[in-house]
Amino acid sequence: MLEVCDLTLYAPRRRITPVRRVSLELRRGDRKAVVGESGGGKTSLAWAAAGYPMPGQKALAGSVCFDGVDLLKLPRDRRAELYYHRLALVPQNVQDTFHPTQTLWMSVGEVLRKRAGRRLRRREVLERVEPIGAPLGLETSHWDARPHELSGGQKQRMGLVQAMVNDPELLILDEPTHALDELNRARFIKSLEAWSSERAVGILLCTHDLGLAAAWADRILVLYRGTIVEEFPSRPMVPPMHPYTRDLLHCAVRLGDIPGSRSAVRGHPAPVEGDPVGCGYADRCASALDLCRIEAPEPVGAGPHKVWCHKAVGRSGRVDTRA
Amino acid sequence: MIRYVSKRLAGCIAVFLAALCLNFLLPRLVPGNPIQDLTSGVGSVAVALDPEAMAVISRYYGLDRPLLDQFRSSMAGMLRGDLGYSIQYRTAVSELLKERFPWTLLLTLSGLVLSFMAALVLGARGGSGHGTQWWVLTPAIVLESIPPFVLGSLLLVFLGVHGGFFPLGGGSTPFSALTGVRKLMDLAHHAALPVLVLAASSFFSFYLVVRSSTSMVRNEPYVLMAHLKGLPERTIRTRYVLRTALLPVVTFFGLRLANSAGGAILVEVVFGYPGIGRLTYEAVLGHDYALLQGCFLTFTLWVLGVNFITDCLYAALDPRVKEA
Amino acid sequence: MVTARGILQALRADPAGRIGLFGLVILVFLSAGSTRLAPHAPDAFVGPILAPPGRFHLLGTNGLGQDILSQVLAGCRISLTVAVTVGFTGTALGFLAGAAAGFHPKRLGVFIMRVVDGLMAVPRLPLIILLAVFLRPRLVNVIGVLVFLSWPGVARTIRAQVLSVRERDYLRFVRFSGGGFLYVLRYHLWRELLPLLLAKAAAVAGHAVLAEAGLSFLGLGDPTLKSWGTMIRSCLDYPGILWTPAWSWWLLPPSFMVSLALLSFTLIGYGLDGVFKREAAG
Repeated sequence: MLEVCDLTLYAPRRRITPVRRVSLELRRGDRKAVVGESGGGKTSLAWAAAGYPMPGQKALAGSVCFDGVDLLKLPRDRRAELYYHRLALVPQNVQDTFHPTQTLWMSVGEVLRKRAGRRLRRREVLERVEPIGAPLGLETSHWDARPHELSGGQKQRMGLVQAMVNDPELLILDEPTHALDELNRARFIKSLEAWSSERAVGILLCTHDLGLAAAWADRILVLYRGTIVEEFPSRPMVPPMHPYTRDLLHCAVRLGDIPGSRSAVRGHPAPVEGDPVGCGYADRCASALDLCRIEAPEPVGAGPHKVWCHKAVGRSGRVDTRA
Repeated sequence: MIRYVSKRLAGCIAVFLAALCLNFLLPRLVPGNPIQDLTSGVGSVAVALDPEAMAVISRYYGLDRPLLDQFRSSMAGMLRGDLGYSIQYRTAVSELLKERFPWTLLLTLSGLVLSFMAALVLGARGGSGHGTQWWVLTPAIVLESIPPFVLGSLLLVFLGVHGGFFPLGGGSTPFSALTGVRKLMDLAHHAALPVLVLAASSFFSFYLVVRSSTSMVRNEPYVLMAHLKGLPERTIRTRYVLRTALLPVVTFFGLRLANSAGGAILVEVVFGYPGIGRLTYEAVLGHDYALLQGCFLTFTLWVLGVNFITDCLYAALDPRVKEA
Repeated sequence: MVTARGILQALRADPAGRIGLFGLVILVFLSAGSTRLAPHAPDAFVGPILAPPGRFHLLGTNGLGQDILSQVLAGCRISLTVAVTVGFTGTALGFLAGAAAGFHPKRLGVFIMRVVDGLMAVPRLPLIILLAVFLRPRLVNVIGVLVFLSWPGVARTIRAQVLSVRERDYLRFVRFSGGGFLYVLRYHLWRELLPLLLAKAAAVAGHAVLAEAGLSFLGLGDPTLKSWGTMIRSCLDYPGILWTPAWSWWLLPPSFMVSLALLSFTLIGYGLDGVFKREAAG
């Protein structure tokens, strides 16, 4: 249903390439998560996957096809028809995206209007949003409030409801739980699961929370500095092969850890400038070879597990899980 | 909302009372004998009064009573609507004010609304990222730099005297008994130049405010989200951009309207327009203190009233304010 | 770079500032040399009435036979004097008041702001007229009235800035380590707020020129001085002037000059505003 082919994004003002040669596929019923550090390009990818590159960015190469139609080349009004109707993107800062003087139900009502073809009354809007919002802990008083009267977490949940209310076929979520505490995060996952299990909807979730991705997604894509470095299924959980993914796992803090026992990944991912040579992770990788700095790795791996790493290929030319 | 309004109202009343006191005290603080001022120099004859005559006049005007008494009776009179008596016109000050006020209102409101409309259209386009509109900015800033009375005089000369397009003064054609549409057109004809001057002198500031407000709002996350939600272009432009960008503009409009007194005075004097501005001027020339005080009071009331309405309007439009 | 030279350079770089500075320089030059450049005394009756511009009278003469060029130059001196005096004094007072209010926001600040609010609530020109009527019409009084009415606007802006700057860490530290109000004023606030102060001063100066011209136009200014406003007034008062060609050399020069003055101050103000915003942003 959604096919991102070899997408490269470029930001002319800042002269960086936030996304490089990314391909991914999403079918109805798929649950994929894109995982990576902040600044790694998740948000840029999320927006571009919805067919709306972030302001200041443009698609240099590649395509984003929704049911065969390239969203990047679609005229504005045709795209607008699809948005929050057949596909929906919930941005990271969804708490700031509501009209400042309208009540929340009015803002969500705008989206419902597309489906219904006419403006809906308060009662009708509430009828549709409350069933979805209730499991997330949202009440009528929240929908009657204005954005400045609500907390960030509440607005984030309401942003999700806004995206779900029109039964889209594709849902892209960018860091949907970063403002939520543990309890609400769990609620969120449960609701998302419940809602998506009743429908044939494809969900792409971008997050830095590996635990969240592992708990919810069927497949995990690891994004580092704008390129996908690994793709693997999470049920059942297979041990990751790419050094970056492994390092990420090591960093994840869990209850019961001894303070100081977790190590941090060295360095920070800077957005890619120009056209770099070699593997993007080479300068941070603990097991980098000389080859890694010269040649960008091609994907290796048969079946559901793909890695972009030179070291993953053993002498026999097959994927070596012990490397 | 009610609490907000009543708080504002209380503040306004406080300032108004202070202005009333100032109004009362000011002429009494000036050195010199007001009776001498009043009576000496009637026409071109210097009149010297003997003490008895002065005492009689003093008693008549109540100027020999203690200050507090005078204050109380003055306040009481004001509450009743009695603002004194104009020497020049030989009528009650309140009558004069009531008669002249609508003319000034017509002028200032029309001028501001005109410049507001123009600024809205041009400023919204300017703020939508089509580049700096030099062709608007340059004449606008030049026009705003020309003092209103200068601009008025120049327009009077060019369009009135030499062009003959517009009448040279007054609010309506004297001695004419026009009715209905003809009367409205006559009024408009006479008001055209003053309104144009007033509009030109406030256009630039309006334009800047609208432009900066629009360009700031356009980059807000909720506007971007409106695009992402696939809302129609028109909705985004009106409900999201305009509606939120207009909030500071409303405040500015109110501010300008409140402070329009100065411009009104100058323009009315140049064009001989029969409004409160010119009345003030004549009161100054004729040393008509009662009239002058009445005019000043009107202006103060005007400023307070407009500010109050603007505040309430803003609170109604932007619910975030009431929390503050 | 918050030094005088730095500000000047930044101002020159800005297109609006450049034009404004140019205009101001012309005005300063004309007024400084006004006594030298003027061929006659502004009050002297030196020629035929309403004579067109010619060899002896570069801008012609007015209805009383006075040389217009001399009058324009004298007016330049007056307006600039008013502008500079009111601009400097009004801004200085406003700075002190605003800084004091921002520094001690609890009691002193509240009191000062009440006064400011009260003064700003009263309409400007009518108050000027009222005061001008009740005081004697001398230039000193006019300047005094204008200063009295300009300091509240400056105070309000300065106070807002001081309030926001006050909470910045280094100032907190200074206050903690005992730096008093005057100390902070001199060494920290002054540097920070200089461009803003200058922008405000330019705006105040511009308004002062306008107000003085307006007052003279209404006949409330100093009748002994030939201000631009007075010139325009006497031109329009002259019976039938608009039907003779004389209005062009009597009315236009002072109109042009006063517009130029206002334009220069406004543009400088905008330029300085831009400098301040750039400084504040980083």
